[in-house]
Amino acid sequence: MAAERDSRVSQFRKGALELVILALLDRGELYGVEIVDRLAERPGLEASAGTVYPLLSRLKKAGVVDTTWRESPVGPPRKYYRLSAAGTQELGEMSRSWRDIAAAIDGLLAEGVHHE
Amino acid sequence: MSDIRTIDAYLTEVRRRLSPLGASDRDEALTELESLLRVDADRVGEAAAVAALGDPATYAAGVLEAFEPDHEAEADGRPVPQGHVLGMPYDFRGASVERIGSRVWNPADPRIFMPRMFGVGWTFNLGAIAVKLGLIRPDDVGDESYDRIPTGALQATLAVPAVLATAAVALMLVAWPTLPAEVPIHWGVSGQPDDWASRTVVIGALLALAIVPAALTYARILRPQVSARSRLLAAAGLGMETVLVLGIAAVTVADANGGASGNWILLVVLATVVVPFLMLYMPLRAGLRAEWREARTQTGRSI
Repeated sequence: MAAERDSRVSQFRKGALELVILALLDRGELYGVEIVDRLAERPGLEASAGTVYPLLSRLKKAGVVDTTWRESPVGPPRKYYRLSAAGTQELGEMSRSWRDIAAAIDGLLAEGVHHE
Repeated sequence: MSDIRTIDAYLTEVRRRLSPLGASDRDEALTELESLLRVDADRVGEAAAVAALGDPATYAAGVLEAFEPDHEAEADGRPVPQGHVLGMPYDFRGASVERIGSRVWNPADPRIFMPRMFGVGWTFNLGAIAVKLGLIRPDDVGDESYDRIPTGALQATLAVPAVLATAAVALMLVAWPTLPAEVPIHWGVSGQPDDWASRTVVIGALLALAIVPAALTYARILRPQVSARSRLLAAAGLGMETVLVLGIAAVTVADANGGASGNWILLVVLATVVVPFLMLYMPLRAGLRAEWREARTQTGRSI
């Protein structure tokens, strides 16, 4: 049961990861490892590199993020990701949907509490 | 939709719209639908049973949505096999460039074992191996890296399968007189042959495998409008195939001349990984370096 719950929670999180990454990039450009690290700093939003990189590659293909190479003080240049104009618009639309759904579910859950 | 009154016509319509699904999923969905319709038809008649389900297009869309996770995964670049048999993935859809891109060279995906492109079992994700070896980072190589591959490096790589196929054909033609009437076609774990077939059949099949896929692939990828990415990925897939044919031909010839052993087979298997790996890694590495140089000159010394 607990394992089933974990898998459902990870489904939630996976669905929201795109929104989470767009929101992170809205504050400024980041490179791949930074994105994984920023997510790890926020309990509940951790995601493995194996989840983040395929998603970044899909966002790039969809034109939601742009990339630029920048010199790194250590090692080879880093690929930085930032929101494109389409990405900023996408973020606005997704955050509105997120708030609508969250408010609706919160309302429903609050009603449930009275019955218990 | 009103003209569809029979179960068979309805099933045909739904089947046509389920083409994005793998064969096993599609058959499963259709079998289920058919039994549902037959049970209903016994009760209310065929036309009424069909009418109750509504438009076949809407029904098919619902089925596709139910299988959504796989389609989403495919869109994410995470490969999805056609189906599973005894827990092993299988895929007989043929090696498209997109499938090579998502399974053989997908550095963003950390899984080394991917569902095989054609046949049963798994294939190596060479992109993940390059990341694990520390040669590249998961997001280093993007679609634009393919377009930055220097022309010479790309042409040299595209020539590799042609060289391998030519070598295989030459080896078989030269060695033909030395071969016995029956040559081994299967080797046991110890490296000893345990099955034989006529040399005409074996060499004929190997010649066909050396020539036909190469001819088809080159005819497709050497057209002018084909992208560097499609060319490289298709050539790497062909490289894997031709090195295997060359290897099998070499083992067959060596065995007939008393020289083959278990180590030869191991060497052939290793070559089917190493050759496509180098065919992808070397030119993409050059493309990546070109991208970096370009970025440096564009932004001056600050980058």
